Amino acid sequence: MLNNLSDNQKRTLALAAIALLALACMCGTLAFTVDMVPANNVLSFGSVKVRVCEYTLNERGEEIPFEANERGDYPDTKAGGSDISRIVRVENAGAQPEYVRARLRMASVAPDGSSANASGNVAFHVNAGEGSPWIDGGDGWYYYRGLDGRGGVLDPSAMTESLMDSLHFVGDYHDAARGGSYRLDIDVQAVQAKNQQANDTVLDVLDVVGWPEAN
Amino acid sequence: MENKKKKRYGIIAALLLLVMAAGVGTYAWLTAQEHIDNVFTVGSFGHPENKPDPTDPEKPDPDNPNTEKAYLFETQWVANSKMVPGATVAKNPNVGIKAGSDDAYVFIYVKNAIVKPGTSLEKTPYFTLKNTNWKPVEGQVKTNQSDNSGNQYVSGLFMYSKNSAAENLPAKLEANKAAQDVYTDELFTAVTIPSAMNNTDVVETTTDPKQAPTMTVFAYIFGAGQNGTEQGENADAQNALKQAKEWAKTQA
Repeated sequence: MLNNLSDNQKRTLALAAIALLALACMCGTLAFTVDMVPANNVLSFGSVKVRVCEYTLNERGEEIPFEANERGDYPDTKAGGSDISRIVRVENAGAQPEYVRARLRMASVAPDGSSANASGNVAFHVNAGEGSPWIDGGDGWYYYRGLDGRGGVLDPSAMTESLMDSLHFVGDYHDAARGGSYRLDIDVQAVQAKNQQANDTVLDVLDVVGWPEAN
Repeated sequence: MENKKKKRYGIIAALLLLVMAAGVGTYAWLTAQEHIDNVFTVGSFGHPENKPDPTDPEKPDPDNPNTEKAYLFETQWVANSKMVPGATVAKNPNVGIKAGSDDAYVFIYVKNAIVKPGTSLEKTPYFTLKNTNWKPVEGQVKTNQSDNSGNQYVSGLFMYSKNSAAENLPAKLEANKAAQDVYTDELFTAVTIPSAMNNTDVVETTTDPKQAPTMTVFAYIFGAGQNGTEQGENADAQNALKQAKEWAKTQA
């Protein structure tokens, strides 16, 4: 049947075949995000989800979740110069292995609602020193590297070691509050671990690409 | 023929665009973000409106405004009081904070620099506590006895302890819900000058204000509710005591 075609038609078919082949190859690289559901042939994306988990020590030294009550109010915490227990971990709440990073920022909030950077009035006690599960990326983010030699891959439902155990306020934090309060902002981000590289070697979290844009 | 060519090129262009679109898609990584925030309130202490009443030191004196905006008062102190061996000098340190302030643990550190270093304890001016509203902090005070016994104190750290929860813990000065400004009461009322002390024992006064015979009192007001790393019952009182001891080291 191909013999009946003109040269132009053959050329056109060849180009179309090459284009389709290329399309198939590119789709192949997307396989890391899809899952086949044979029953109805629907393709769905895998999920990457992340959750911040906060804990504190109660008066008996027991670790308890630091969470809002039924009205959505968190326990009142008073700024002070001595250590305030605040344990921060990150959980992979999705169905895909992922890399995670977190950022801690303190802001003073004046009564009129305006906020200002107050990083100079707080000391975070983070586990980001040498041999620690977290590493200071030097870009404002702490990256989870873990302790198991996998570069920081966090499996579904797994939780990181503590990023922070406590904090305390330093300097003249009373005046720096400008009659208002302080707000600790905890940001976490996750990016898929699959297909970060072509081979199976360990990829360190600092070499990971595709992090969401930071605010 | 021309139309066929146009169709052909159109199909090829569409397929190439589709390939390019797929290629761009490979840069869209699956990501997720979450953000939470915690609010920290800042404790505050206000200056009392008035100085304490000398005759009822736990109450304000409505006729004596606190123009210096102080927390620490000595309503009986007379500037440049003369020391006479065997006599007393009026001195009555008392700490007050404004009603509505945070509840607080209050400490006073007394630094005694009246006599020259090396002067014996029996020649060193001392004071006794006025009542049980104040207690010495164990291991942080010095008496005029060589074995550090007795109740004639020459210096050290003291804690406000009226109705404290435990014998060795400070008590809260409850200002937050108070109807009027609150005061601790006086730590002591007078300094006794020992009979054995004479003028050669006393620090010589020079033009340098640091070179003068002085007994200086410092107040440390620590907001209640700060447990720090302390745990268990009265954790904030234990933390206040711990922090006060650290503070006292800087005053000695």
